[in-house]
Amino acid sequence: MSVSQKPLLEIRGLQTWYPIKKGLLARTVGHVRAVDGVSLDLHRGETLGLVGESGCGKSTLARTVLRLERPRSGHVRLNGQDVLALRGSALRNFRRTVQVVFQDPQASLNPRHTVLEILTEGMLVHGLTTRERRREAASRLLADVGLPDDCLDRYPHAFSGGQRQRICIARALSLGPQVLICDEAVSALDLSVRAQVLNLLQDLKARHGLSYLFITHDIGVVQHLADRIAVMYLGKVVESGPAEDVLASPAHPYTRLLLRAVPVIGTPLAEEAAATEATPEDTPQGCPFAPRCPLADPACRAAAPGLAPLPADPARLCACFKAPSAPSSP
Amino acid sequence: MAEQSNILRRLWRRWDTRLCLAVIVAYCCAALYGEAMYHSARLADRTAAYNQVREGCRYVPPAFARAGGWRARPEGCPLYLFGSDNLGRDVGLRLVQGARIAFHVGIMTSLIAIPLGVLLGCLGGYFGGRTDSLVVWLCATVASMPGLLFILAIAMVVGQGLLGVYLGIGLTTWVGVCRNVRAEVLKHRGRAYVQAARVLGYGHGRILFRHILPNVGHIVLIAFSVRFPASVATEVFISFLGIGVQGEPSWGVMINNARLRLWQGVWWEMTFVTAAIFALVLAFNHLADVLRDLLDPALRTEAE
Repeated sequence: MSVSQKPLLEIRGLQTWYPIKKGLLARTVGHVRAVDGVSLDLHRGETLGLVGESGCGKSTLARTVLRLERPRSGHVRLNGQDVLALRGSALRNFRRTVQVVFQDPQASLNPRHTVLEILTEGMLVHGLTTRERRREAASRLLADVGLPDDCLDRYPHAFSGGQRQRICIARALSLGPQVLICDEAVSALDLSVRAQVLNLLQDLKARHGLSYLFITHDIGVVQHLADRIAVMYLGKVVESGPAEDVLASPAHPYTRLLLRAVPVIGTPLAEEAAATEATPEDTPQGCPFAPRCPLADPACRAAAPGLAPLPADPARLCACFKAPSAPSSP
Repeated sequence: MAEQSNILRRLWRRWDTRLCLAVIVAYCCAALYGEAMYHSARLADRTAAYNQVREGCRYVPPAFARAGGWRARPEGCPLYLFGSDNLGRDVGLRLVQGARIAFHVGIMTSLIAIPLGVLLGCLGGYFGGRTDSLVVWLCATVASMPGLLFILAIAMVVGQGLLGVYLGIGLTTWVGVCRNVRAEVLKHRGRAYVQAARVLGYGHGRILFRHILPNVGHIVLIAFSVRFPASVATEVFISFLGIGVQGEPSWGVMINNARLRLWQGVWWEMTFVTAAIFALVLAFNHLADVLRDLLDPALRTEAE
């Protein structure tokens, strides 16, 4: 992957805050800073793993990019085009280009529509197929995700979780997207099914030339899939870089914490660094991770570190005063 | 989905709901018969049988409760299975006419209240923001007015007769439907399938009416089965007060009529009318109860 190439999806300084309202007149007393100044690039043909614990703003980021939430400030560009300003037919084109697979396949499918309707409604709306030819189109999509033809006239409740998620993936592919956002797409599946779906996603990526923004709380999932990793904590990206390097020598203490939290059979679970979990409502002065950080000192609590390239490897970014100048092992 | 026929089958399996359905069907038949009687009399331009006044046959007790057996009745009077009233009119036939009017009121008010409530509830729940504030404000405003006063006001403006009753009841009772639908739509709006529909680029109308509305349809069905008997009861009350139907035997008019001689032992008109109302309202309310248990996913157990 060449870095000089223009990114397919460009996120710059994105902020999505939710107001906290109190009292009879619903006065806004503060904000939940779900996404607080995130910048990310997704290049063509790349898988970007976005990792963080629940509540860190990963899903809000995805929802903002998908135009399901309005950001407070920042830019999202797709092929250089400002996504947040799109209207009318340009917005419809954007819908064709960027699709999503959500976490819960059961809730993602309308229980009252057949698989045929689910898969072809989008194509009909966007004029990509006709009523007469939609059966063919739908069975091609099913074959793509490894489901048999006779599923077409059944309802979602007749399928298992893994099969439902395959239907969701097929629906997302029905519009021929370039970017697929997987928001915890395999988190609700059990381990054996998870592996199958991950393999399917790898397959589809090669066949359809997709780029993935792969959101997960489980850094173990990303290991198999991602070319690059971005780690989010309380609405901010704290570390990003090529997947292998980040996993081999994490620079931010939070990334190290995440990696230690991956359970390995035969070894005792690592102790959590500190029990206090910060919420996005209270924004402490200084580094947001300081209350949980084993390395924190008064300097960390006084000012927040910015995202800066590591001296040892400029392709990697890290927001920590204590970032090691030489690569270390987790 | 095959859910609709499935629900009917499940209602039929229980003896209590089967009884309710049978009662409702019987009332439907009575109402249809009343409709035929009303129109044939109008077409032939003669006094309908239920309005036939017989001076010599006043206050004849019902056939099965006469002192001298069912044959014992004044000369030239019909059988009077359910007795006759103060003008010698047949209480049984008037009860059937009352069923006709009750169904008119139940159906017409539902046709006003339910579409209005569903539409406003959908818009408020789906779009949120200012639209929702407006809908909630409208609901609160209408709900804060004493219902009867509002109905009286509308009836006064439109004039006496059934139209005033339809509008009066219809325009005050959509609030409950609206609140239920709004809450349900609000719940579904956040579901992943709606989010996915938005990402797929579907229009608001398509999402609201093709995706969300079929999933809240059970609320509408429950609303109808609750609204119908409530409207019938309200109509009885309004007619009793003399604002509703004129010249036709609605159940409320009959009760008002029957109360005059009740203390002199003319018990049958009052008894039969109240029993008729009681059975219809009970059947509908019980059916509504069971329907809610069957259809409301919140109450549905996972075991199914």
